[in-house]
Amino acid sequence: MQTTVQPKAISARSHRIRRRLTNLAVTAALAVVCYYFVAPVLWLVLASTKTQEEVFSSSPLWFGSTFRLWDNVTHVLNYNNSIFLTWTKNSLLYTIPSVAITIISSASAGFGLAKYRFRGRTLLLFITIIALLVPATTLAVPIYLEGSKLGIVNTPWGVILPTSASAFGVWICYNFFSFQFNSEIMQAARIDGANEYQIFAFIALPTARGVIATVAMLTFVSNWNNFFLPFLMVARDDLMPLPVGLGNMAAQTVLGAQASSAAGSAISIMDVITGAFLVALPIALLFVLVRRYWAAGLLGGSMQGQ
Amino acid sequence: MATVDSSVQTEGARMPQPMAIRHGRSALAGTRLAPWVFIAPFFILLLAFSLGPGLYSLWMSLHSDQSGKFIGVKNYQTIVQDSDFQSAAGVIWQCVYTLAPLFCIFAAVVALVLDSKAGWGKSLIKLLIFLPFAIPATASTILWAFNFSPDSSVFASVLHRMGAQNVLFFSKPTTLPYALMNIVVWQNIGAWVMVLTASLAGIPQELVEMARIEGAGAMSIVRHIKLPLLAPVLVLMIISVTSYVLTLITEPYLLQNTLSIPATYTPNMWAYNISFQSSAFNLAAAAAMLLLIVSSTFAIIFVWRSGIYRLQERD
Repeated sequence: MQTTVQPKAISARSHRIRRRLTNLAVTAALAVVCYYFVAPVLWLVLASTKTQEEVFSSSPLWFGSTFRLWDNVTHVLNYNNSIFLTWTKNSLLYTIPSVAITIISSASAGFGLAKYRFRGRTLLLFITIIALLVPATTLAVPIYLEGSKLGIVNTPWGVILPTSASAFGVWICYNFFSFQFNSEIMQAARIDGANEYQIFAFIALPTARGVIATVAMLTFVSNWNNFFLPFLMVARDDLMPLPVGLGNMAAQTVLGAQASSAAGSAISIMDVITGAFLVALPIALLFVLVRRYWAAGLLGGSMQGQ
Repeated sequence: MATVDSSVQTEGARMPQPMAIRHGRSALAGTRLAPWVFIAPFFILLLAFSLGPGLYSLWMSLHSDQSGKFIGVKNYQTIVQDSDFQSAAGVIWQCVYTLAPLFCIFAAVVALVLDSKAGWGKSLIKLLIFLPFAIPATASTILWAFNFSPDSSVFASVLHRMGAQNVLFFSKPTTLPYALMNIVVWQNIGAWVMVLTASLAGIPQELVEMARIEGAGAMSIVRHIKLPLLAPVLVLMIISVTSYVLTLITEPYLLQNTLSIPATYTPNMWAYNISFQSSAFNLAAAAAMLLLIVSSTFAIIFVWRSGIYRLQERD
């Protein structure tokens, strides 16, 4: 009896040990990968609590001798008549309307393309896919050139309108309405006397809540973080959104191209570091909180068409 | 690319009937008009801020900056022959062919490991890898500027502890593309890992079990089941990364002083520089058109060859 049981027990134990070792090795490898992604972020958080000297002299992944976060934050917020708050306000002013317009235009276009058959529909779907594939950054200079002809450069509209049409949003909504929204419900509503706009507003939109949340979040983050288009579109300090303002601020310190012209300017490196921290913090928290929607949305948008 | 099944019954033709009977002509007209009302806002915006600027730039690019006269493709010739633009294109080409395969392999390997049964704490790890994606490019470029500098870098301190002396990151001009690629990978890969793990989680467990019962090892399950399923996402990823790199400007622009990057280091920087420093707007339009054509052609060919984004209808 014993002779037959023992080898089995040994092999089970060695199997378990091997399994533990694999777990350990995989976790260790992933920890190294994680260090690469997390350490710079942690550095930013810690650096914004230090003095300028200690950013370069103290351990990069630990606190300095004094905790200066509040002083640094107050200094950035007070810099240049609280321009940082103006940039924050501008970011909200540009992002919220563009997200609202994107939601409405994407949901309705997706619905129209999915639920009706009309002449030119295939062509419009084709155009949507092409628009999906053209990188937005290649259009920034052309949009600026057109915008200066239209006179929307240095106005909020120059930032809001070009970022209010999302081919990706239309595609996600189109997929949702094509594959997950039943046409029979529409038929029943028509028999009950609802017109097409009522069907869209009171039946289709509420059903598409999840997809619309995805589109809203994707648009919000990409427009909030957008640098190049607003950078071209607004040259005035008080019209800049946060990323452009921060970039401008960085450019006036030793980091930037305009370092020489800014000799004696009031901006310190600490303002730039703390500013970067303040810009990154809320959007990182928001994004991390709602990340599930994001992956599902991108996947839904890209895969369901098959 | 767009294959539409024409055998599908046309909904529009069949739907309006009950309404027409009940409400007469005006209701029928309303139904016909409705889809156009629905699609109008998006396509008007697209026309105004994608197609419009594209066509306007095309028109501009065919005219001279000096005389304003039509000069055909002369601006394009000027750009292609410009030595700064050539070296900018070279840099970007180097980034594309180095980064596309690297990014793909890195993302796929990390996603497959995260999807496997081995290791602990993987949902936290996934979240941490994802974190940089949420940080605006301006902020992440600033934080990298400091992490390239040996006195404040979280990597220099580790290397120093491991015995390395005088760590200097990307100090030679030839290593500059790697500094930029590093930021692109750091910033974007977590999002793709997220998407890849989400699609791996969607693989039916019975399929994997069946393969295992048939005697397939972990590696052959990866090769024959998981990778083919990831293929469309990987295609999408390559397109997205490539177009990001082709139009790279935020990162090199903000790092100009820290890493002594020339003002015309990438094609987009070249276009920006030529329009804002030299006011040669028609030349800048031509450069933008060139970038637009190259990146879109690449994306369209890739999508067409791989067959994703097919327009297949379901009734």
